[in-house]
Amino acid sequence: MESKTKIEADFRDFVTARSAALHRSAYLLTGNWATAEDLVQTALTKTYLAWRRIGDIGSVEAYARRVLYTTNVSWWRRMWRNEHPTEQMPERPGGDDHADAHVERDLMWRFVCKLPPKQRAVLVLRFYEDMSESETASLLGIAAGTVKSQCSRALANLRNQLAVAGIEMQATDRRGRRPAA
Amino acid sequence: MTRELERVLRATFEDRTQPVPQQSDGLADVVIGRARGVRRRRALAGSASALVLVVLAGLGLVLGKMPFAAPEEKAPSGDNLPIPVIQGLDVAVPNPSDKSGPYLQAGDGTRVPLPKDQKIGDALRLPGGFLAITTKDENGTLAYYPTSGPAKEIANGKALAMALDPTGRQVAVTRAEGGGVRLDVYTLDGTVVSTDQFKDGDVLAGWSGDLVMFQNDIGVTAWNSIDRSRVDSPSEKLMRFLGTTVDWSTYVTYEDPEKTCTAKVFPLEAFRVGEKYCYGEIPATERMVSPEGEWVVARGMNGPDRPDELVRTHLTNDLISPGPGSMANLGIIDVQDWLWEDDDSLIYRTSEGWFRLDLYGSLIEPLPIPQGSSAYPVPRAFVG
Repeated sequence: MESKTKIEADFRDFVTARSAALHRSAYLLTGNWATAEDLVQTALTKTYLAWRRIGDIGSVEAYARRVLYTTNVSWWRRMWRNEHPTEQMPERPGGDDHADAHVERDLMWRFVCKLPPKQRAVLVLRFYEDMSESETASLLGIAAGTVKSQCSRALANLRNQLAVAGIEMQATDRRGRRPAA
Repeated sequence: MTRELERVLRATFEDRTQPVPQQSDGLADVVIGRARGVRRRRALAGSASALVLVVLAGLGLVLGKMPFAAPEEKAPSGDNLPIPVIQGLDVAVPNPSDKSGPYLQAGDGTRVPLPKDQKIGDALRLPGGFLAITTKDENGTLAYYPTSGPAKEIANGKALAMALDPTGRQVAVTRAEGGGVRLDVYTLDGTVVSTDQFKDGDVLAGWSGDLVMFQNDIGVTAWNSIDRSRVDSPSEKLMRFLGTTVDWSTYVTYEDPEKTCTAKVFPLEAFRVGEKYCYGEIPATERMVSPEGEWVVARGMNGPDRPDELVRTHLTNDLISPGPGSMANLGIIDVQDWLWEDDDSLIYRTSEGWFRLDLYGSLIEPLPIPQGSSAYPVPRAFVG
């Protein structure tokens, strides 16, 4: 059995190496850095408590991520009634591509923050962590079909909200370039 | 169009996560400190899992099967081996290999002897000791056994059952009396706080806040320990008590037409259903909510021909989001007994022995209780 000192040393190495990445994911899930910090601490605490059981160091990050994503859902459930997302939308400046892109992302972020946590988790895993549907399913402990349906529902939701805000998603080519006007 | 949407989404995520704010120094130290605090609280033991234990006992009675078999007259062969100290896990040992009489073994190795001529009917770990019901012939005795010092008898009678309240200060005790069921609520020093009478067939199922929950063949009855009033669940929904939530409201499962739902209900409002999730899958014969309401583990959901397989779902996830639930097969079969170790860890027994399952990682670890032994892990009470 591993000694307590060895476990603590391994854990410290893990935290040093991976905490920034966990914080980024936690921020995308929670929408603010303070809650993200708390979520990461909670996920790491559960990971540390399970360290002996996890065994293989290669499995630690997957374990921590799984805790991070599922714990966030629980928190959201307990706290969502206190959440008051802003209804005020940023003004749309005209003509400037950079400004347009900025407003587009700002709106996108607001709408992402309004998604139910399960849908948001799927989007973060698919489009930030670049996980496949099966990897996402495995991490969240759900069926691949559920990932697909949640992802599709979330994207439809975002598209509709952006359309209401006056932003139509244009078709692009395979490299993501918009056709010339 | 979707590709463009995905592109903007990726760019949004990249934008939002740059740069990461300065990390707090000593994060690992903070986390290790928190983990030590959690371990200390776990070691102290406590009450939501008391509910789980009693729910199981209740289900056992309802279904005609007790979760932990009483020790047999002839000790099983596994009882010829000593029970090792299992760090952090409390164990009931009905038939020790040295024939010294039944005892309870705390996770630190401390042995608490039980009356030699009695059998262990039920046991629960709580701060500073154990609550245990021991039986001789038809009579049972409930006593508090501190890990050091003399035992304190609380109650005795026929068909005793117990459930510790969420504060860990009171214990509800039922016994068969006069063709019905008598309920007494005691403090742990044996003082009676309240008494009432129930009909035969009402089975003590646990606590939810100040309510003592009873299960019967048509649903759930909530008995208010403050004013002794009672509320029955609606008869058109066959409700089964699953446990309590983090805010001390109540989880139940019930049958709607063609589906089984797990729901948060409000007993004092005529069992009004709040958040719910209805599973399209085959109803489980038995299910359990984890102490903090994070997970549901069910047995028998894979079909009537596979009654002993475990599935689990992330309940908090299912309750808030429409769409398919997260019920997943754990790949564990032949499950005979089960109990929660904490909110993320389940302990179960198959014909091959006892195991611990980590629900986040689906990690399985065998426990060193000898195969075939009548010894079993004692549930903890999680005091709120």
